Amino acid sequence: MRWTEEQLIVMIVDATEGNLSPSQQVLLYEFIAENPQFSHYLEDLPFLVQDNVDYPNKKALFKNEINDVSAYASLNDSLDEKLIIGDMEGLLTDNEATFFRLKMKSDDFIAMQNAYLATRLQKDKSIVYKNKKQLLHTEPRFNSLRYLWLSMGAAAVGFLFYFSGLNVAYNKTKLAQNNDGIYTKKTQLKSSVKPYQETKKFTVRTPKEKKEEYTVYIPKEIIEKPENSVLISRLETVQLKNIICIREEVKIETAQKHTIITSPIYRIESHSKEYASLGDLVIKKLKKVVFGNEEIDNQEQLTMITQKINHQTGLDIAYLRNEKVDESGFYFKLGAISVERKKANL
Amino acid sequence: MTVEEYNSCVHELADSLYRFAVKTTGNKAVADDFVQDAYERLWKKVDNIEFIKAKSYLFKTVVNLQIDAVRRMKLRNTHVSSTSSPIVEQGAPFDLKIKLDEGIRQLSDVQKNCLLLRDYEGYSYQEIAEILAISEDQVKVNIFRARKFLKSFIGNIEVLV
Repeated sequence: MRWTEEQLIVMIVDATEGNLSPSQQVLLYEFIAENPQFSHYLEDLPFLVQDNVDYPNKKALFKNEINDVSAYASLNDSLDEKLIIGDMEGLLTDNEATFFRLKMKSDDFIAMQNAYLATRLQKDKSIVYKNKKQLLHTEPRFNSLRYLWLSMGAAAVGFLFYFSGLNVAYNKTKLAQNNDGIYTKKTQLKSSVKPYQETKKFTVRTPKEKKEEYTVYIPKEIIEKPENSVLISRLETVQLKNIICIREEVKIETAQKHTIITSPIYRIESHSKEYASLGDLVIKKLKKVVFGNEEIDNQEQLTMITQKINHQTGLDIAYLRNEKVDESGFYFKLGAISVERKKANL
Repeated sequence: MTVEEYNSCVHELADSLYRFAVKTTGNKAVADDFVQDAYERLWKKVDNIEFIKAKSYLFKTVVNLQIDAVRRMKLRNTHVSSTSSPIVEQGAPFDLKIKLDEGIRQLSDVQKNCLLLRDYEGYSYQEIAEILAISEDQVKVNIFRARKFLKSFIGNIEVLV
């Protein structure tokens, strides 16, 4: 409270006449105490000095005294530190803030507060990111990706449509037109046991052209070993163990675990052995036989092998060097032959 | 978020993000990588992130990158910041800047992140908690501990100033 000297004199007169309440008397005394230039008026107010009047609302003044800062109640640190940091962080309640201001009268407290204020970090504006231009984008990501996805999607759809849907449709149409006995379905293969008496071309088609010629791979040992080479002639009676279709080739496993791969073939589904035999197929015409990368320098051996094959199968055999190695591990390839379904009486 | 909003994020936040990354890692090259990674991730999710959450996302990403980097470094028995030159705190008296910077680098990662996000970016406790994936109480305690450590670390301020 700030009074003028005139107001002070009025208060003193009231005090001497006993017209001031105890709280007004305390205020008057405190004012004089805070303004020593008016201390001579205390001589007119001996009763204030002598009577030691207690401020009646002293308890009210201490109502803000606290024991802890609620925000940091879980910490065991000193109350002063909690008050200072709490004030810095804006975490003090009203009571705590009032108590904090009371504490601010202490020099030690203020020194500690200054020390803590020094820990407040200032933005270092000298640190600037210089590569912002690299981060900027001009086109919406959605659009840029959309074109990519659309093109990829279109390509995928086209691919699938081309290699599955169209081919199936195409072949179905052709089958219907030609009434060919291709092994395209299990039922057809089942039925093929019966129509041995029929003579039908084993027709295979690629997506774009009709193919009647196959490449038949025969395991090396079949040809090399005389006893196995006989198998070539036996093939007609060997039961099929399995027929596995891989897009453009068919792997035929015989009961003797020899494997013959015909390629390229458009589609033959997998079947179990009892539905057909290799007897269904007969090699009709052989254009050439390739001996892979297995160079046979021994002309006599080659002649023997080719003659055996020719004798057993009626195939003409040619020899070609430097053919790529077949990944399936077969070294000899009877290439480009045509097959047809064997007549039952053959 | 539109492209314009994304670009405004670059203009407005790149410096802050970079500053934060520099201070947390203590290495400008690493910080540069973090910022680029953060924006790259933001761009990948630009359709899914709201503009108002971009800042939080960016800082969160940098924090996560920092955590990953620290884990990798720990595997190599070194620390990101320990391999870097000290970054001097600007805007304060020189001795105090150096001292503060040293102090910051000695803070734990969580304390450092909390303090930097609080003082540099003015994030609320809730936002810091969200970015660092910890509770608000933990944020309060970490900042308290960080300030107390820094105060004791810088020692007599009058001597420094």
